[in-house]
Amino acid sequence: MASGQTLAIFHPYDNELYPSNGTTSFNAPIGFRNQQPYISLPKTSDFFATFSGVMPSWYAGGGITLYIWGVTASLTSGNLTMGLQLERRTTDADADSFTTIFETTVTAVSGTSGIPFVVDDNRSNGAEMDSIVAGDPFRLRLARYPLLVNDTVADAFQIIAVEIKEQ
Amino acid sequence: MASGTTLHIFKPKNNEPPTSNPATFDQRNAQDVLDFDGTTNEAARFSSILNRAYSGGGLTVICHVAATSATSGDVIFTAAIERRTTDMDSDSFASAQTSAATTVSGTSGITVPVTITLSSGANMDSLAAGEPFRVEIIRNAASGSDTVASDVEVTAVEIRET
Repeated sequence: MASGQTLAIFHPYDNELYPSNGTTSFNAPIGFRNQQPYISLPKTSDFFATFSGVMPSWYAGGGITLYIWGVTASLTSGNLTMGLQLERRTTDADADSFTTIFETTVTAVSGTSGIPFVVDDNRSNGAEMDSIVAGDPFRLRLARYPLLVNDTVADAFQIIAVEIKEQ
Repeated sequence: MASGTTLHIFKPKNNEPPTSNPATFDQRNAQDVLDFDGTTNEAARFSSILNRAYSGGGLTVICHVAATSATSGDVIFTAAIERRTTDMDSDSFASAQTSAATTVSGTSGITVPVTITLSSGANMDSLAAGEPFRVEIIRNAASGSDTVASDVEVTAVEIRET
């Protein structure tokens, strides 16, 4: 299949809750806004959202683009970035094996907090996507790591949907 | 991609119910269903991102419907699309489009497809590939042409390109 195709779509309910390390909870909480679910990622926490899928057969081996749709809790200005990691699930499931953290494109938030906007990111094939190929199970992890200095939005980012597309 | 392609499939657990008159989650023979009342118009809502296989045509929404107990009569469903580029603090669905009156199966546990056709453009809120959206499904039980007086159950909803 030609490039440009949708490879995966994730919904807030698809988030796979991450356990505490004993002192800190990493679970990005689900919330509802006008009856619509979202995953809340505050700026100052280490919360994760983690999604799993299988790379579909029509993936042709190119790079991927991630589209992370969401809204801010209330802020109407500032720039937002996120950290993302991919994991090809061919390693021991008892330990994480994600790529290093990549930072998404710097994106201005919507001027109306309830209007969705999209944060995107391109990852080239190979190491940046943990060498995932068609048919491989994989995980995607999203977070707003406090170390991401380009993220100037002190507010929570409420994720409503995520798409992975082949470039 | 050619028309007729499946773009999305929603199951009962994907429902994001409205506060007013929501369809009710239930199970039948251990299979998830959404119950839609026989007299009150009830709704289910699903969200996603329009698959990039969509090539600009209309959409066909197919609800797979079984009657809870009835073995005759017609049901009517509507479908409305909301392109999620407006303030999510209020709803912004396009005008609902209506199915034909569709006769339920003579065996209550057998589903029949109830088809709603949405032309491209305003009837699907001008939704484009790669955009987030919601679809609202309502059983139009209050219609005189919906002649099944009791609940019907939706097992799945498919969206195809027309």
